[in-house]
Amino acid sequence: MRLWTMVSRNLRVRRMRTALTLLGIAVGMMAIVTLMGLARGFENNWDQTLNARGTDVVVNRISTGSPIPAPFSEEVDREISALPDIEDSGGVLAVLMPVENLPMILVTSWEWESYIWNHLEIVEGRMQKDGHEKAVLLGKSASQILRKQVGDSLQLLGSEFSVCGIYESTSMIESGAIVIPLGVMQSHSDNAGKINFVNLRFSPGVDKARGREICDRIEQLHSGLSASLASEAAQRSSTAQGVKGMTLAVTLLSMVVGLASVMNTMLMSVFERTVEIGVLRAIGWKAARIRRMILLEATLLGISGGVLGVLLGFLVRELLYLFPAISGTIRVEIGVEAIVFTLLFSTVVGALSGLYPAIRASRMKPTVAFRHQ
Amino acid sequence: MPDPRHGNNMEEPQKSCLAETIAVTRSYENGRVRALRGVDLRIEEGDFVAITGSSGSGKTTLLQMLGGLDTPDSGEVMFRGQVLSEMRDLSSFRARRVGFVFQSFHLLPTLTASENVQVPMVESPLPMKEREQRAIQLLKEVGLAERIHHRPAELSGGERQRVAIARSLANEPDLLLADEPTGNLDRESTTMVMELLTRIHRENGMTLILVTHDPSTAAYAHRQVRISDGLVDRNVPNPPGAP
Ligand SMILES: Nc1ncnc2c1ncn2[C@@H]1O[C@H](COP(=O)(O)OP(=O)(O)OP(=O)(O)O)[C@@H](O)[C@H]1O
Ligand SMILES: [Mg+2]
Repeated sequence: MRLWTMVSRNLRVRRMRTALTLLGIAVGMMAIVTLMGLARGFENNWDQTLNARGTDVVVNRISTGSPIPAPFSEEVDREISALPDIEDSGGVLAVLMPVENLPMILVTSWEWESYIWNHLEIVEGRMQKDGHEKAVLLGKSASQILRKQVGDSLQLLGSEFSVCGIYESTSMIESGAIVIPLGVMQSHSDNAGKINFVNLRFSPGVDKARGREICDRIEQLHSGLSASLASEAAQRSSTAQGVKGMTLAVTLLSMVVGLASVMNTMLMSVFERTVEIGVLRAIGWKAARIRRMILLEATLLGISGGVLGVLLGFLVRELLYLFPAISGTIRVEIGVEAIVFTLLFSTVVGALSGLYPAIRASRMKPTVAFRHQ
Repeated sequence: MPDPRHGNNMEEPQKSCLAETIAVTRSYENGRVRALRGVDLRIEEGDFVAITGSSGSGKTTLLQMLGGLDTPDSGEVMFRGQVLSEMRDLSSFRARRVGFVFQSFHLLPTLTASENVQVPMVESPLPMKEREQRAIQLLKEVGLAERIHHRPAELSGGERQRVAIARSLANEPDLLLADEPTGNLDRESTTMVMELLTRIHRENGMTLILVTHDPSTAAYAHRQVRISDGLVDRNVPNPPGAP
């Protein structure tokens, strides 16, 4: 028999209480692991998107909160392309909006004749004829979610568009998006002369350090402009920042909830076991061993809550993926570091919550052993 | 010429002192309840003492003093010449020197009989396997070879008390303290438990102190100490041959 035996039996005997406590921790841990997975999924998605386009730098206006940054004048694009070491650049105007039966979809428009169009692989139909044709290209998963084929019509931006082609992209964001020429988007969305991103690629031979210098130059062009290397763009994007802020808030919240729930459970359990603990003290257990037993129980609750939370995170992900609108656009990539972080965090929360109950328990008097006959 | 098989123990005039209380007092509730009012009591090695007395006379309080569960307000408790209040760690004194048996057994409900017996050994350096073997051995000695993996809830009162006795012996104590060990048992189990305690005393030479209000239980002991109102009232040997 080990201390461990007693600890795990104590938790198993009060099945309902243990289960409820575990749930209390697990919900928070599930939220943490899912949010971390969302952030990572989003970042990887972005990386893939920029890679697929061959984009080296993304320029946008510094914005906080909204996932899509505010528009600015397309003049900026012209100024940027005049800078040295820039091979090509293209203006982008992208919006998230409801389209037909979908509550939210990415509609993006690219400067006609910019390099951005080059990476699209048309699998059905054709490209738009020119930069003014009122026709859309659908990503493969967008066409599935919208249930649209080449030749169908689509209600978009308050008027009717025809579907001229369907493309494949290695980027999930693009695969779930609608693409139209920039000019068409500008005129149909009251954004004449406006874009909200510039994508650009360097001339061959530009290394990372030189790339950073170019980014700094761009940011000096206009105040409020942010230029990020493709490898860093995702992390700097407002969506990623927003998800990270939310993760932090949820982490703190689940710490408070976890602490309260484990401490409450352990205090209850310690007071219920006043006599039992007194007997252990009477037959020679040191106060330190009692403390260790209670701490171990609390820590075990923490770890188990963390494991349950991670499992719930995977379950939530599978549930989310049941919705095509989500599975086509959002990835929850639960990485090893998210799992490790969540487990460590819940373990620490468990151990911390056990401290006070452990001290209370170790102060219990051995004389109760003879008094509660 | 004395028979060498008997040694000279039989003639030893004065046995050595195992535990002793010297003018021990203990009061509760800011002195309003005086549970012990200056108890002088000497327990010899290998003795078997029954402490009797009316309810509230201070028996349990005295037992707690002897077992190092509580410390006196004044006076001293000695164990083999050492003053208890000067010991650095009373819990390790309790673990190594004293075995406790309680009226309501106080077994841990989540553990099996064998695991309960191993609880005091958690503080000992014995390896796991040996602890297990020792627990099983002890359970065999108290006649529970068939109940090793039973939980307390699956045992009768008498069986539970025998598990508790096996547990009290786990660390080979010098002194066994029992407070009304048969108080919750029927006649049959009482006889069984008392015969077990007598056997342990006889075979291991264990010093035994038990508190009881039942004269027939007290009769198993070699000496009866009566406590009255926090003082030793009478301290006499039992007539041999009882019960
Ligand atoms: N923790 C305590 N707080 C207050 N009073 C106490 C406490 N423990 C014991 N007493 C009082 O001390 C006196 C002696 O108690 P003790 O338990 O030693 O008596 P006892 O001889 O064992 O009685 P019983 O035969 O009923 O078990 C009693 O009056 C009791 O009420
Ligand atoms: Mg008593």
